Amino acid sequence: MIEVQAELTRGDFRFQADFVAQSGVSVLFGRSGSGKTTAADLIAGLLRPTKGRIVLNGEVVCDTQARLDLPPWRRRIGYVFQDARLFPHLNVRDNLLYGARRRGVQSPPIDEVVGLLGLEGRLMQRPDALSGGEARRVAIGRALLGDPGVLILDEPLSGLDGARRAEILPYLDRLARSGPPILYITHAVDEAARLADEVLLAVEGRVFNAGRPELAFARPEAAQAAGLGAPISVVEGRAMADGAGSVAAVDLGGALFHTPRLDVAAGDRVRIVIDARDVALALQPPADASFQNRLAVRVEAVEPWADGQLVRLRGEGFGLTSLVTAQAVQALGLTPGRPVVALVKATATARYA
Amino acid sequence: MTLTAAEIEIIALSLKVAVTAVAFSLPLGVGAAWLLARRRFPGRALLSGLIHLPLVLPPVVTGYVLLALFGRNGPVGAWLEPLGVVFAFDWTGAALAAGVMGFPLMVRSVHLAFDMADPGLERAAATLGASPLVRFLTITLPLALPGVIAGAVLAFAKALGEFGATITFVSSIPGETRTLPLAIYGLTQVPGGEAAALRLVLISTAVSISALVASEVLARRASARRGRP
Repeated sequence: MIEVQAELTRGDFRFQADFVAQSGVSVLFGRSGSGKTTAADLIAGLLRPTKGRIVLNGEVVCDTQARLDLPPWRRRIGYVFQDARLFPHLNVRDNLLYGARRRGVQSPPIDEVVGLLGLEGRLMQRPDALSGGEARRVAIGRALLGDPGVLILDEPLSGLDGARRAEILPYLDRLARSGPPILYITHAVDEAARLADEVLLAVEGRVFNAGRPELAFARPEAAQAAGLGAPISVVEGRAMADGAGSVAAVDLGGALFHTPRLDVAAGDRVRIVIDARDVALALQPPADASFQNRLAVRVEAVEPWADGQLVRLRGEGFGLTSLVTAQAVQALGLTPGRPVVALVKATATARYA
Repeated sequence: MTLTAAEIEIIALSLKVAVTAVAFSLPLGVGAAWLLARRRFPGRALLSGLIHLPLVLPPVVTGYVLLALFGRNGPVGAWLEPLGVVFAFDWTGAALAAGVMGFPLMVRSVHLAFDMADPGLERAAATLGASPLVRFLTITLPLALPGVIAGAVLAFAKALGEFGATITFVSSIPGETRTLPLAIYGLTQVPGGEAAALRLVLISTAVSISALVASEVLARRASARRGRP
């Protein structure tokens, strides 16, 4: 568990964080320059807050009022930097064991970590012989073997191409299930939607807990944090095989959602990301229309957004947000409680297993 | 070419002086270079200036300052004498002069090497539980090793060739402070000494080239250990 209440002023930049992140994967989400790395550096002890208190798994590591500020090497953290920062004069094995040796970890589970991260056969190599993806994985393994109470991953996939990302993501999934609490820093919606148990939003130097991803991404601040034109909806469900035998539908817990083919096994939990601009509304299911998804929902609320109106919708087992014009709200009489049909093209969804 | 007993004595003395100078100045030089490269403190510019002074002063002036400070009647010399440490007109004085003259060269080289070592790696080591001392020993120093070796060799070469400060500080006493350059100079000052001087010149050249080759080999090994060509 990570508890942070901190303020920091540096020149024009004012940083303010007030959040509690429970175990699991907390995604710290925001644009570059929004204070994500500042938050991570405060937790790691690489920066000192002007004022504040930081508690990691119940241990107070910083309390400016009590004049307490443990240096980084006395905090039980693992920090995977954006650039892997492997030690060039040590081979992969010695890099992996660096933290374990410093912290006196008895018989660190190196074989397990090497297996988890797929680093077999690389142990005797020098860092400069590794690919970018391998270097990131060694950096993750090095942090893990230091037996951290909290693992900070700062944009572990940035700068990697699609193939390398696809190579690392499964390892992160496994890590999320078996490892220590993770603070995962990213500005990519797909990574956040896929991995987050809860979302911490960083908006212009302010960091706060926005809750579970389906709630967090519905908030206007999330769209601002992501630099998106409109909020997005995250819905979660179980992948299902369709009539033709390919996995192309998701059971949202009552309603069925059609998607393009999914690269997962039937029964896996998946999250689907839907842009509010891609959700159309109708009072009756239209005849002869191409929308594959016609979801029975109820209007929960209507809020202004830029030059349109955000319509918050609730269905059985999921929430959805639609961005429509004020005229549409008028014409359809969209008021809270009104049953409508949400229309979503199957191809307009992005899905993350 | 067979060496005479006198020549062997001169070479042995020169090597003893140079090795001693480097052995004592290396830890100090590495420490000073680290301070200059990684720390901001009041008096930093003063320290830097003091270290580099022998580089810009005439060597005779440096020798004179050493004599004034470390001579038997000098403030430091008088204080050290009861402890059994004597520099005046002793080979240890020659080593001190050689060390002081080579110090700025060593510090510059090591300083550059520390500047090249990425502080981000030290931060990474800190998050992995390494205290500042452990970080220095396991990360910074190994990364800077080629520069440290280069600095040591530069200082060694300077010590072998040091003339002005040495002759001013400890004079030219055979078997005690008469190193290679002093001996060569002495021989050129007596009639008929040219042949003997030439022999010493050749020896001196050979010793210096050997040191250069040795440093090259060491630096390559250190670089190979870092995984760089």
